[in-house]
Amino acid sequence: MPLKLMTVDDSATIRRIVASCAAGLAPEVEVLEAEHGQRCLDLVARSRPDIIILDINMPVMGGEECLRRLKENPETAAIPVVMLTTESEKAVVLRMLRMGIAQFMIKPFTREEFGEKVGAVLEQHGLAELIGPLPLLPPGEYLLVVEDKPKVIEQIRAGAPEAWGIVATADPREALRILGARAPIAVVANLGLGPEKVFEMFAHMRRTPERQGVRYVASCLRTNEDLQARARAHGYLQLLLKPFTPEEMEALLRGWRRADVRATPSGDAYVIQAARGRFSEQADALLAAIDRAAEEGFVKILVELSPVDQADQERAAMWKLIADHASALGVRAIYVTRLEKVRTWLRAGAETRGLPVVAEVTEGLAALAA
Amino acid sequence: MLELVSEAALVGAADVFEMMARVRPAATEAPGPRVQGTWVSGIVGLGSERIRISLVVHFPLELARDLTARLLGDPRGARGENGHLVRDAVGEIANMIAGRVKSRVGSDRHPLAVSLPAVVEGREFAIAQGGRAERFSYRLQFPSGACWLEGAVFAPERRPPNGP
Repeated sequence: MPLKLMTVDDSATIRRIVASCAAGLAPEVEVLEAEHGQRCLDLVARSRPDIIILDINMPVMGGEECLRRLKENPETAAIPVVMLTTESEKAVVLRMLRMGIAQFMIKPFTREEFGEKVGAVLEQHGLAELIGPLPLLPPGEYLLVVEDKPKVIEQIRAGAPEAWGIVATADPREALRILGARAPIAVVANLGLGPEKVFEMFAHMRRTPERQGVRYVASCLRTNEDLQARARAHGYLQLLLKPFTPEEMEALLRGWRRADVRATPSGDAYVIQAARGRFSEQADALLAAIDRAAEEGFVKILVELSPVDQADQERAAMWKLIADHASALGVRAIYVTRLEKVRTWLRAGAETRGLPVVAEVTEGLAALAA
Repeated sequence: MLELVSEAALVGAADVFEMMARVRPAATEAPGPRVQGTWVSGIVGLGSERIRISLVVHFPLELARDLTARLLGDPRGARGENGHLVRDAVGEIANMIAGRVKSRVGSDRHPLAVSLPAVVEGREFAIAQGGRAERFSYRLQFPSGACWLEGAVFAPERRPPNGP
């Protein structure tokens, strides 16, 4: 039985993007298109969809009115509706949730985000058979390996502690679904599956709430320095270079234990300090701390990195990662580093996107208060 | 305010292209384009009682076709995209950037309203963002060409102290 999905948007481009995303979501898909709310109601009366992807701002009839009528009608009230809109105001999101939407997605979005969110809604509404079952997850802690080479999967298994389970898939979209079911210790993904696909999968995983504490490791050939540089430029600093020995795998795991990131509220700001470990080992713990700060309602954060002189390339990727992540969450960040040459370097570069860099935590707190 | 709006627009534009078209442009501050050949521009206005903002994205037609194909997940299909879809895509890009500006610049007390996007296509045209405003302009370089992101932030109109 095909998944019947309706996309309601006044933009033909968005309708086609949604149709294309839906095609990657289930083996068989039938897409119904409507350019405004009234057309949606007309179509729903004739052909009931399994799920509706609904914009808010449209001519003729907007998404809010359309949603109200769908929910008032007993014959259509149970159809799950996912809002897909540029509106991101808290008041709008809350109003839509009260009206009974199943999920809220903000444009722009990635195909992976679409797959995960719409897939989860279908599962919650008993329609999982339309998109296929999840693999059985092992009990306890596990590594999620996105890899198509059985030999590499076995090497990772050999290097990991015995108590850890290994779940392997060669499909980044499937990996997103697995991550949504239960967070692993780490995701190890082969860039050879398509670097852009893997970067996008990682980026989406980093934005999902289930990612707290998850580490992201990109694997690629030791000889492919270009790909390694691209991974670092995208903010993926932990690399597993192939071929690797069990000792190298163990060294990677030791690094996770070494990283020490502390996060404490100070007044109306949140102070995040990374004291030990290399940037690559701290990255995911730092991002998780920024997530926690945002979730707890802090809009001001102070990020202090350990005064360790590390490679410019790694440092640049780290700062850019923090700046982008804070910006996406609407958090105002100030950076603290005691090394003058690093401050000078940061102020001259574009990595911090023009955000302030200071020498001491007290100085940063004063700047945030001002 | 100009700094906040321009940063929100620039980060928003980078996100739109990176997340949806899977291509990240290199941005530089630069004066607006000299429109030669056929261009497509998307225009969106935002406003509250405190501020008015206009945003314009200008694309050479070939780049607009290329980005439309990328948005649709088919980078090799650029030549086949029809004019209507390319114009629609340019309007939607402007709309999504405006959405990001709205979320960064607006507040619960002073929400910004966003207009539906307007799209202009033609040869050697100019879009005047008239009135007293602070302005910004960025050149966004893609592998297949450059587009421009321009904005104007208008101060609120002042009423006379004893006026109606």
